[in-house]
Amino acid sequence: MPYDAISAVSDDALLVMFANGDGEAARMLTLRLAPRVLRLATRMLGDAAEAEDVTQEAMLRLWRIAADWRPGEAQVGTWLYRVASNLCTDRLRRKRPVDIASVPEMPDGRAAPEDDLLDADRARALQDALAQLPERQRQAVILRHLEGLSNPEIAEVMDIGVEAVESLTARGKRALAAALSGRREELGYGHG
Amino acid sequence: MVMAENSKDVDGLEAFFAAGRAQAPATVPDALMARILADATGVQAATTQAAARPVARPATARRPGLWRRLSETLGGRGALAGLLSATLAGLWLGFSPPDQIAPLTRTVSQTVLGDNAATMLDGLDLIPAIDTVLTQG
Repeated sequence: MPYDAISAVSDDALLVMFANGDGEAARMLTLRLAPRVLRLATRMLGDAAEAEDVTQEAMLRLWRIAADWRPGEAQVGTWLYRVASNLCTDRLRRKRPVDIASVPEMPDGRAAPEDDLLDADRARALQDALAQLPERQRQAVILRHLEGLSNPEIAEVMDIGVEAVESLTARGKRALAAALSGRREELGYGHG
Repeated sequence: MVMAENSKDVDGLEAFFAAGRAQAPATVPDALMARILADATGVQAATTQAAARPVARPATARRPGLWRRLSETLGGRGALAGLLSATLAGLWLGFSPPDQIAPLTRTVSQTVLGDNAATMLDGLDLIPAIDTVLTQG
């Protein structure tokens, strides 16, 4: 199937194609979904290597469930976020608390002019502050404000009610605001 | 909805979130992409092999044949063989009785029926004609 045609196919349909042996479907699903999982895992774990391992494991679970996938019952992306979130939670519970100094910057592969450097500093400050949140608050804030999921979608990913999502994001944002308040001026938000 | 909510930005976090979104990678590293696709190929190969493997046909409960049921009813193959042997022996004796049988029969008959046994036996019709049965009831 040509690239243009396959790019218009839904995740559900691609998964069915994959289950039927279509290798191109696997590549397209990886291009669509793996970056989201990698971003989530990097933000949750603060460790690039671990985030890559989680991404690979989550995608492997997707390949394995493809043959039994029932199109229309769930969103592939939401299901994958849920798997990745659970994998991240498992790893967070096994390892020591995150050392702020060790939190990596999000790699973007671009040369960084001055504005980008400032943006990079802000992103790093945000990542540092996220790392200090309890894991459920961190997960909810990342999914809501960085990945752009709706509250019902987050509720499905986290297996909780929408009100609980709202509560988690609200508490998470309050904690973030408190953590970042001292750095606003140095990061160019002094008058904001 | 996110933008509407973020536009309020009451806590001043939206600028940090925007920076975080801008710094996020849009693709995965090539090495990770290769690992993920290798997994996909492996799962597809395993699935194809499983599908190609001949499936064992489920054992269907067949009704046993006539001889098998007869054998089981009579007590197995041994009992059936014994019955068959006895039947063949009976047929053989009927068609070609040994010479000793006739004097033995006479002796037994005379013992039981007395001196007129021969007369009685001569008049005994073991397989009467159907006409006789019809006329005599």
